[in-house]
Amino acid sequence: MKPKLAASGLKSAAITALLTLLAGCTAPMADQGEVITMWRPITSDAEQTYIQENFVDAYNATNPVNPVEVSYRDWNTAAQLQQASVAAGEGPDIIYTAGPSNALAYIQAGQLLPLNKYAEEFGWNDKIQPWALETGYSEANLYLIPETYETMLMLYSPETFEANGWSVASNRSDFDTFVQQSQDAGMTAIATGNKSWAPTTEHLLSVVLNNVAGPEAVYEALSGNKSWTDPEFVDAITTMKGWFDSKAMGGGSEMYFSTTVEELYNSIATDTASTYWTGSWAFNNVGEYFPEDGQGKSWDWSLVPPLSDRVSEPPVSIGIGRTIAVNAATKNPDGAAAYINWLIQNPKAQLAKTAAIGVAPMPLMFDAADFPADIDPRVASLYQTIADAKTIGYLTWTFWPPKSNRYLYEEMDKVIVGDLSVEDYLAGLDALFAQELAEGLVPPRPNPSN
Amino acid sequence: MQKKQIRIGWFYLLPLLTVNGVVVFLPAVSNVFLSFTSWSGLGQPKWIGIDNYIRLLQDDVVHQAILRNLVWTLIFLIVPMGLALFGAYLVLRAPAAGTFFRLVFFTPYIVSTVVSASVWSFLYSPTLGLSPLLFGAGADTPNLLGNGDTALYAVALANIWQWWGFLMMVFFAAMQSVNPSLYEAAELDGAGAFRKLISVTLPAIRPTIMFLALMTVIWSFLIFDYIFIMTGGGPAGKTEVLGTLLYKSAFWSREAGYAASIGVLMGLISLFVVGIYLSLRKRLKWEI
Repeated sequence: MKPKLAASGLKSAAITALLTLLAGCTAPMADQGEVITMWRPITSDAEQTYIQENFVDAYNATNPVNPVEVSYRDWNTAAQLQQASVAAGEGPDIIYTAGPSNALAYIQAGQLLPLNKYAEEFGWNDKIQPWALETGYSEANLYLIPETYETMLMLYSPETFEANGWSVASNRSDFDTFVQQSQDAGMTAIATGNKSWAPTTEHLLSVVLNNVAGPEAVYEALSGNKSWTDPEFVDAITTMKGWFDSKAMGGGSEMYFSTTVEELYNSIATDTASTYWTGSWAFNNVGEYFPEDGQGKSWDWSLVPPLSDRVSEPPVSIGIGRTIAVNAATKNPDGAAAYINWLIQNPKAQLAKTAAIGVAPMPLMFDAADFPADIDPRVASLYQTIADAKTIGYLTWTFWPPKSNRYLYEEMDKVIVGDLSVEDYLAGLDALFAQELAEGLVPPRPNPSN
Repeated sequence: MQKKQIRIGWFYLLPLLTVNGVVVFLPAVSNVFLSFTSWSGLGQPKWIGIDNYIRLLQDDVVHQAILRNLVWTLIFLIVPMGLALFGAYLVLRAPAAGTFFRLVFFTPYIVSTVVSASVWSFLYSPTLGLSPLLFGAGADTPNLLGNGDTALYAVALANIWQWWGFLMMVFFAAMQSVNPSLYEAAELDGAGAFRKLISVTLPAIRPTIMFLALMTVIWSFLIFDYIFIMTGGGPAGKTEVLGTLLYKSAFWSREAGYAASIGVLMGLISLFVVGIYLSLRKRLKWEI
């Protein structure tokens, strides 16, 4: 009986070894570099379907030698899975990151391939907006290609504004009046909430730093020529804290920490809030809450007005939402670069995507003829506004180094609830930023005068 | 012959030992190594000695997180354990309705954590949940997850709702195995229901209680899912525990080396708890 058992065990081991061997036989397929792999974070089924049909399938139809194979990942876990895989020397050929600040660790670890020769060969400098391309450089090497770009904006319902006799404020005084009138009307003046996305505080900080302290001050501080404890920044943070205390922003701290994105859109549609401070990514979903059936309200957007005398016109705060890069461990860098180049050479496809599903396009050098006829004029006008911007601002998740960026929103939450003073918050930021600046971790930034 | 049997035994154990070695032992050892390095999670780790541990000792956020883990442990040692013991005893005494109640109490345990946490988040919503129904909509509506003083307890309540039914089932099974003659003897001595629970049932199922208490302490220091889903460690870090802190350090701040040292700390705490249990067992001569 026992020898029989032993024989059975050996047989199992032999089968296991055979299966392992067979599994190994399939591995070289990917290693030969014939298929270019990507893991793409997605936020909706519609996005996945659109990307697969209009980008992946469309590319593969004309490039059968190095077809692209995309594995769609949940937005919340894609970055972690990819980090673990790349750290193990594996991972997809084309690497996604949530912006230049997030990608720095990959660059520093030598996990990304410099793309200078492809940029030169394919003329990417003439195709991508200069400020956006600049964020992809580290020590003269181009590693990151911006895949989406975004800005902060103020979403509102024109019908609500008209019914209350409001117009979009153009300065701090007008805005303060608007805030008071909103509250008098029983509405939250600045709807926002971080229940769905914990770092939402960085969206608000991006607005107040640029619109209260001013893009020039932010640029100088990011360049290490100015302290984060200077009065402009104290003013910016104090302003934000004041709005939370008066419940003008997010309905106060308790509501802020428990309000979801869905509730925020609804608050504009149902007149419980007069504006919703969000980003251009709002275009992905806003239509769901404002059906164009002629029955309900409509939506529109505006830039947040200048909020201090230091700022003369509304700054267009810009940033990169996602970047793509080539894995240094790829067996087929030319194939990966070819797909990226195909994306860059197709501005019409980028804007068609934005028109169809609201997802931001690559920051390419668009001209009027690139915009599809069916694009929502409100969406088109946003990207035109960014292109025409005379003064740009800086979104924190693109231009701040990683630790400072996390400090910005996590510690600001403590300021909001009163656990940390504005002065201590900024002193902590100043110390941490100085450390990361010395380590060369601050991403490159364009001049505010664009 | 006996040696051959031992060899065969080891042969059959080999796959399991290999798997354990690869997925438990090696990662554990590499985690300890990484805790002595500065590592972003990508590229080569840089050896920095005990710097991460010095930072752990000085990091107020870590101290606060440990404190919350302790509060969580205390809550879970008292509330669900107490509820489960009491519930199991009642179910045992009502055989007719027992099956129904066991099913009702155990059902939450088979619900996915993500679903359960999401439903509870909705219930706690100050605009859509139970609060506006019970207390009316408005600025004064209780906002349990938005308030730093109540958020941790609100999350704990959600987790208890799912967890206590499982404990009850385990206690119920243990109570069923208590020798009926002990109850008969107690009755002859004039013991009532409460006295029988205290003097017969609880001592008889003490090994089960101790084991679940031990596991409760260990699990409480590993808590991550409910807190991450329901509050993300907020508001303003008021529900941050070691598990969420480790995750954020590794993936948000890209301080995987520091995150590894938090992981080692969590492991040491678990070992400490197991050590206390083993020491108590030896001193009090428990069989389990």
